[in-house]
Amino acid sequence: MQSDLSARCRLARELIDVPPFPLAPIRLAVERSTQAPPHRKSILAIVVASFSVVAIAAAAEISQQTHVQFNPSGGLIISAGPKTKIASRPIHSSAEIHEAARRLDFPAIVPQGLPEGTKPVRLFASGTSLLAITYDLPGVQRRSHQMLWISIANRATTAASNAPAVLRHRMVRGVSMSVAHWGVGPEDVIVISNGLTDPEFAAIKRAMEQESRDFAR
Amino acid sequence: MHPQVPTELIDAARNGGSADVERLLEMVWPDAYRLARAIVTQTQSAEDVAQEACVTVFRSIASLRNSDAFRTWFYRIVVREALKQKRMQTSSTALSPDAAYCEDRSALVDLYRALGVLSDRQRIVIVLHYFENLPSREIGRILHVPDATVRFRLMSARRRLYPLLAELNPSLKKKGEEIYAV
Repeated sequence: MQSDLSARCRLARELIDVPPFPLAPIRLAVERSTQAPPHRKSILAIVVASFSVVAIAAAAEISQQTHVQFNPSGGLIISAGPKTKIASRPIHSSAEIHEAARRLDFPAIVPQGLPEGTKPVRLFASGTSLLAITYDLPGVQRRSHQMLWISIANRATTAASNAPAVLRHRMVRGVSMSVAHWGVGPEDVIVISNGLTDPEFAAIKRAMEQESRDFAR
Repeated sequence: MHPQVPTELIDAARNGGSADVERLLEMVWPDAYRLARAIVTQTQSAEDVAQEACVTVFRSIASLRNSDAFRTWFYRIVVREALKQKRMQTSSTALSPDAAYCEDRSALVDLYRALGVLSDRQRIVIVLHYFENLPSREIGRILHVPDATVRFRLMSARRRLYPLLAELNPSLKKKGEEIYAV
């Protein structure tokens, strides 16, 4: 029986089709992971693994706005004007998220449908058009993969593609994450996590879409 | 490792040559992918695992003290990434091999189904021993556990596997008395 198991496993190994060596993505990932950590002022509580999150001081014409864009290599860029009020602070309850959402310049749908026991831990607001919340996911099985980061942003700002020139702050980490991005009513939702499962992603999306439909009635 | 990686290449990679590291990674990529594939079973996840492992090797190879330890160190990185990936998978999708992969390969489907009921610890020792042909002592070094622990896990994994494989393939049932032989 052992010899049968050995033979089966050897055959299984031989039959695995190996894809081509992904040199370019590996080089890119190594390059990102060796970039210097940012000068953090009071903000920068959001750690987005394997993405470059770059907040860049903008030209005067978008001085009060925040722009979000996805760059072709898969990174996320948040651009904020030099006069944009940026705030980041620890939070402990959903009520604080609702309070912050009321100050946005669009009728925001706050994140919902989260796994039971998920705790909000930090809030990041960029101007009046983007709110990002860091959550701790429950469950010991997630161990160190407990981060969940949800951004809700005015759809008009996420459509912007011009990134201003002056670097304001930047944060990079080199661990792979799952990301989902969709539109809900007037807002763009970006969900990034290293511990959220596919059904949990789907539950968040369903709940927020339902809330959007209820809100529209 | 299939084939054996030249020590000179590992030495050169440890000394900081990016081109050497890339050549080394290209050589070991098939091993990384096959090991990842046998542990996580889904093609896309295996590719992610193998890629992450290569990035880790790229970043950390300068800290490897001894080129002779490369194989152990490398497998350890792949196993760690695979376990990280598995934790992110749901229970309903975690252990099903890709349908396309299993086309007309019913014996392999049986094997993967049977492997799917093992715990992660059991599955990993089975994969390292039977897929990668590693001795229990080296598996112990990879997993940071004693040799005896590896042998115990192999034994308990086989005890679970044999009846399952026999059930999935009735032609093996006549060897029932041998199923529990260790």
